[in-house]
Amino acid sequence: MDIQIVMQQVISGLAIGCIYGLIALGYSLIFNAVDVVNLAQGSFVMVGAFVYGASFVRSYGWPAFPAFAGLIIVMAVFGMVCEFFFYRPLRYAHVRTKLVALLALSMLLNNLALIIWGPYPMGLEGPFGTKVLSIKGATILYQNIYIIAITILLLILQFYIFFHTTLGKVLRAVAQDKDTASLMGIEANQAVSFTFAYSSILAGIAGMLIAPVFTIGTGLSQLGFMGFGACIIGSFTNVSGALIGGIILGLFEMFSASYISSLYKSAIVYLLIIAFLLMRPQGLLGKKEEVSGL
Amino acid sequence: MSDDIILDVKDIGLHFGGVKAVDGLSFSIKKNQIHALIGPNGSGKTTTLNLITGVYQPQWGEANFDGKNISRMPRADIAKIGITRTFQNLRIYNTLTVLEHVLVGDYINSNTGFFSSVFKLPAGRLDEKRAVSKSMELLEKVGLADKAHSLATSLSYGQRRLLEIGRALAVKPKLLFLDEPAAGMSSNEIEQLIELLRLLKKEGMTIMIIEHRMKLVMNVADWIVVLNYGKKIAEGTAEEIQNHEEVIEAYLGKSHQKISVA
Amino acid sequence: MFKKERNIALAIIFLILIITPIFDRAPYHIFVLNMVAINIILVMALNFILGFAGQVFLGTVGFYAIACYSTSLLTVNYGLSFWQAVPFTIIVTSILSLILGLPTLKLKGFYLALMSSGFIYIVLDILRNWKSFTGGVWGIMGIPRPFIGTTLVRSDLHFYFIAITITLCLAIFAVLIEDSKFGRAFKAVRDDQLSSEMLGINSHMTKVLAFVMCGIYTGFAGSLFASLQGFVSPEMYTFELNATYMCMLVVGGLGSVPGAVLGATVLTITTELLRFLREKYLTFYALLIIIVLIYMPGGIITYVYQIIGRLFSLKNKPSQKEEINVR
Repeated sequence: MDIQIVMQQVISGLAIGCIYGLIALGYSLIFNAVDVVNLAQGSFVMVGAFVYGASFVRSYGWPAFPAFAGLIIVMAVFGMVCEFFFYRPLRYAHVRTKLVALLALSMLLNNLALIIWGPYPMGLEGPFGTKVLSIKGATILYQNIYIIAITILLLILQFYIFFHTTLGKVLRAVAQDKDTASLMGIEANQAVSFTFAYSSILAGIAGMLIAPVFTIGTGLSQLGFMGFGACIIGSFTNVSGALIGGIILGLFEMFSASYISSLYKSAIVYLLIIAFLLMRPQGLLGKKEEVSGL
Repeated sequence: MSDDIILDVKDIGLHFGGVKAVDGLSFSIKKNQIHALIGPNGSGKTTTLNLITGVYQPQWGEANFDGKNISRMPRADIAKIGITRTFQNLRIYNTLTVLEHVLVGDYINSNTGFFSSVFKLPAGRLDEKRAVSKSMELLEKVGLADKAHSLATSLSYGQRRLLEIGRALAVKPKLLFLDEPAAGMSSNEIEQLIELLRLLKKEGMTIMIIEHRMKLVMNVADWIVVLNYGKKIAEGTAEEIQNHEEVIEAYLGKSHQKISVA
Repeated sequence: MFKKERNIALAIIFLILIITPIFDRAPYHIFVLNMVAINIILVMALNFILGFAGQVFLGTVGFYAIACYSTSLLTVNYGLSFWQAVPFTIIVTSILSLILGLPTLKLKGFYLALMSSGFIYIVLDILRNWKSFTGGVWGIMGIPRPFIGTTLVRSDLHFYFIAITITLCLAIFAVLIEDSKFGRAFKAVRDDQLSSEMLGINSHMTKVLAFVMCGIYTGFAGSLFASLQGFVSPEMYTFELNATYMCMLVVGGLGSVPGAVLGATVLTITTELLRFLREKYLTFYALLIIIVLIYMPGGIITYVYQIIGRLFSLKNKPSQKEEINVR
């Protein structure tokens, strides 16, 4: 093993892992607020990639920063709209019904994307293009560093929002304990709506970051599965667990593709996730649940 | 240990975070008697029941049923060896009829195989006939025979409680736990319940009820266990409990009054 | 509840399906009818796990792909006839469902949902990449049609009679299971798992049984489809296909056998009518699922039951046999 190659792989694994972590954060926020896994989270990522890459950058030719601001606004509204039309009418229904509805939402989004943006995958150049940084013979894509940097910035920002703003208080209260939240006088519907908006923004940013790495297409919605895997490896109930799970998954994926088999990459990752699920369903950082399977 | 003890709970405990829901509780249940587990709200009655029936696993201690340790046994197996229960917050099946509820209770008493049951082969047909007539008998007993073919969701609150008892009886338990069976019942239905409990005792059933209503408890219970903050503070006959200092305190605060039986 | 309505509904739908070819033998329509029969089996399979046992399993298409490929490989590579390949295919899918179901059905609902969606990707990965065994993206060709006696069933019309007969038998089987103690156990575990366990029902094994039934039904559907089509390739077994089956079940009526049959029939034909939309018809399906879940959670079969109840003036009175038991 060449040390330079290993280092390159670690960086790209970290970058992809950060994106999985962001998707996982979105999962865990909604899960903690409403006890349902948002099966459409992967499609939210896809929508983010299309809105940013296909519409704002490619069609309208906006520079990176306004496009980013636009993406945040669009994704926030989009998350709220999805919550209002597809989750709220079913909030008292059985979990099973909610899961089927969210699955239908994901199918709806994928097909609307086909209609709006067309069936052909689009490439997108990141703000740094394909420029590379050379450190001692290892070539590292600036895009990967950019992804990692943005994720770290986002986490700092999230930390600030969560602990120093009213909005953050609401989100935290809902995520930790719905009953206490309602005692604090937080309107449950509104709080759930905020949660959807926030997790949709996270998904949108993940979509924006991943677009230059892959291509923009409906296939991006499959990333939801990786975010879910990150939650299983880390934890569904613990925010840092979701990110750590994402990074572990990203590194594992990168190395298994290089050293085991690239053809069966997704099968191998799937086996890792299922092994975790069966042996430690609460995740590496989660607490063991008292009552399971009910 | 005497022979007529059917369930022996030894130093059982469960803490949720910092809350001592059940804290080193011991008591025993004697064959063919009606026991009551009482205590103020939040004193750990339902948690105790959940520990015995396997809904939760105790963090320490054990419960022995007929000399067998049943803590940490899978839930379904606990029912198979003869313990079943009803629920405080009713758990009925939304899509099943009243009769079907009792038939579900009978599930473990039927031993016909898949093909014989599905294709209604003679053995399966015979077994289904037995199950239906047995279930109708039980519905008669709890007074719901005329509702056999309605959906259980069409029943009143009190009737649903009776249905849960009927469903539990179909399991043919040796020991039956009733979690607040009288909650939400009309006074007529409570009379019916008391009669039912006496009848069951006459037939040899061992019962433990968890109840708020003193009238019911004092009326039917042979032996009462009183909990407060997850600990046993007293046990004895109805009369002993009514005059027990600590029990009166737990229920009524410091003012020393006799527990009203009315 | 609604046992009579259910049986009458099933009888009517199957009667219509069986006599349709008498009036209409356009080759395309017969092909669609064949697809209706196969889709009914698949939706009934999904009904076992999602409708009866209430588990959100999204991997049915994975089983379907494996069933189609089993029949294809057994007939093309190992020289078995169609009728010999069917039982082996069913053994393959049922054993696979057992292996997959035993560990995963212990998991909470959404874990199962996501894990099973990953299952489809794995199956596809293998089908595409294990070229020497599955033929890769080209798939397998030359799957034979069944023989009846010594004559080969060449025409789609005759194939349809075989398919619809198998479908009818499987529908009757599903109804018999629903009415047995196992059917009650499925629903009890679905409606309230904890109280069912307190009654001594092993909820895990009950779900596994429903899952194996799902595997068996999918096996039948896969065998029929491979033989009808004559070739298989990995492209059709998509996540979207799975969603269409789910849509058929939800629209027809979750947990109801005639609901599954009706949903599959109506939506298979609708899909054909919406062919001009290409893949966009899925948008319509997705919206349909959500609308039905919100506004008529019982599916269209509940309205059919009402109509049948009125037409045949059925009141849900106890049948005579059960009255004898009351006395």
